[in-house]
Amino acid sequence: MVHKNKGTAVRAADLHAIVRIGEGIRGVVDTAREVNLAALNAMLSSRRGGDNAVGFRVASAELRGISTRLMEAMQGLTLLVSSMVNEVAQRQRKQRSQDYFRRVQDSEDRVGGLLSEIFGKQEDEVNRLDMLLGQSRRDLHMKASRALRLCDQGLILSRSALIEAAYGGESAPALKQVAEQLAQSIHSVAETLGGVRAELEEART
Amino acid sequence: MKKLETLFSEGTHQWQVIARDPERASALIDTNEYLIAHGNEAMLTDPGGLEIFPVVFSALAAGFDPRRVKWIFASHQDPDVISSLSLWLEFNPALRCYASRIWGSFLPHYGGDGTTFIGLPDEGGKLPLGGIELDVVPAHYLHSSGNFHLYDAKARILFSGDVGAALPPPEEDELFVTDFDRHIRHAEGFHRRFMGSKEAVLDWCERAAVMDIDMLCPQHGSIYQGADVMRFINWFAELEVGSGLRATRPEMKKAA
Repeated sequence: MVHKNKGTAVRAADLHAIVRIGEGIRGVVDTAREVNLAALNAMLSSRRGGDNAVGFRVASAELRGISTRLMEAMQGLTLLVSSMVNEVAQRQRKQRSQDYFRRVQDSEDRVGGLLSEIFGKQEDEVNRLDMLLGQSRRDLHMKASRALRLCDQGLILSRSALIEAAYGGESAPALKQVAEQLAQSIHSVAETLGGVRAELEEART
Repeated sequence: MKKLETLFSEGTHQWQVIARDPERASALIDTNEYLIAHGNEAMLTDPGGLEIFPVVFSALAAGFDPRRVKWIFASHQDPDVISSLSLWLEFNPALRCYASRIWGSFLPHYGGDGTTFIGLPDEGGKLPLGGIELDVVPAHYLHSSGNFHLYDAKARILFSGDVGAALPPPEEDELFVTDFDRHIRHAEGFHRRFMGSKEAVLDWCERAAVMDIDMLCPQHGSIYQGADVMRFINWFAELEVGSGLRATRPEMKKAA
């Protein structure tokens, strides 16, 4: 008899949620890399603007630093997600095995005591894995929030870069274009990270 | 629900079969699990897949103390044979599993670790069980490349894994073969397709023909007993096997 129950669907949903979070993190890494390159490009462009573009150059260098820190933060998040996949898989396996033992009909009550011992151990193990997963989710949420604060700084810096671009003399239009690209990329990172955090909050409720 | 039925009983020496599950999902092939007990120990042959563990365990526990099962004998590595291993180990972590040594690093994918498996050499050998010995009979390539059967000289029973297996319709799915000619039609397609080597078939038939066998017990389908055992051996020796090859190479089909 194949039993497809609600538990199976819930367990699959856990794994799907983690996969979505992992995809979000990969998206952030890609965009942070774009920001890094765009900031480097901005620093080079600002040289052509001479002394007029000093402010723009400083803002771009700071943005580059932020994108590097974002990529480092995402490495930590990736490790956490990978350990969560492992924890969810272990919990799924344990819950599956619980399902099979629950379907045993011990009509003669020969092994009732042993089965309840097994149920107890399985329950303890599932609880332990639930606690581990809860802790991993909290860590992930905290790290995603920190990364979002970096994005806030990035957005402020990208606005400064846009203002400084206006003082770039002849290079002003080119600098403005680069600054807008930076702002767009940072905004996209913030949006993705916001989605990751919302996913985690949803999983907690 | 599967039932535990006794095939042989003499003192503490017993053979029982856990067979026939009319409620099983149609996607799952039905399997026979054999329980061999002697003294305080018992061995379960091909305990089955994960999905049927609850019914196998329930049927076993209804007539036997499952704590006495110390050994599992896996004729080969297929999921319908042994994928329930992790659950049996959860019930009894001290359980040990006999299987061909070539599956040593494959079977742990179902569960267990380095201490769980006892690798059987290609030539077979003897397995101790509560003070007696069972013979491990090589049956390689029938159908798996590392394949064994188990012979009990005391009960004169040969557990033959997939050899002798049949897939009869529900109305003809009896525990024992009662009409060989009718039954063997349901075994023919399976043997032609799943058994890949004529050399392996003849090697097995030679071994089986000299054994004193009262019952030939396959993992699927009905049990052969009495004269039907030799009928089966003779039928198998004559059978053209490896039909999959012929299906993909028309020139071989014509030659056959």
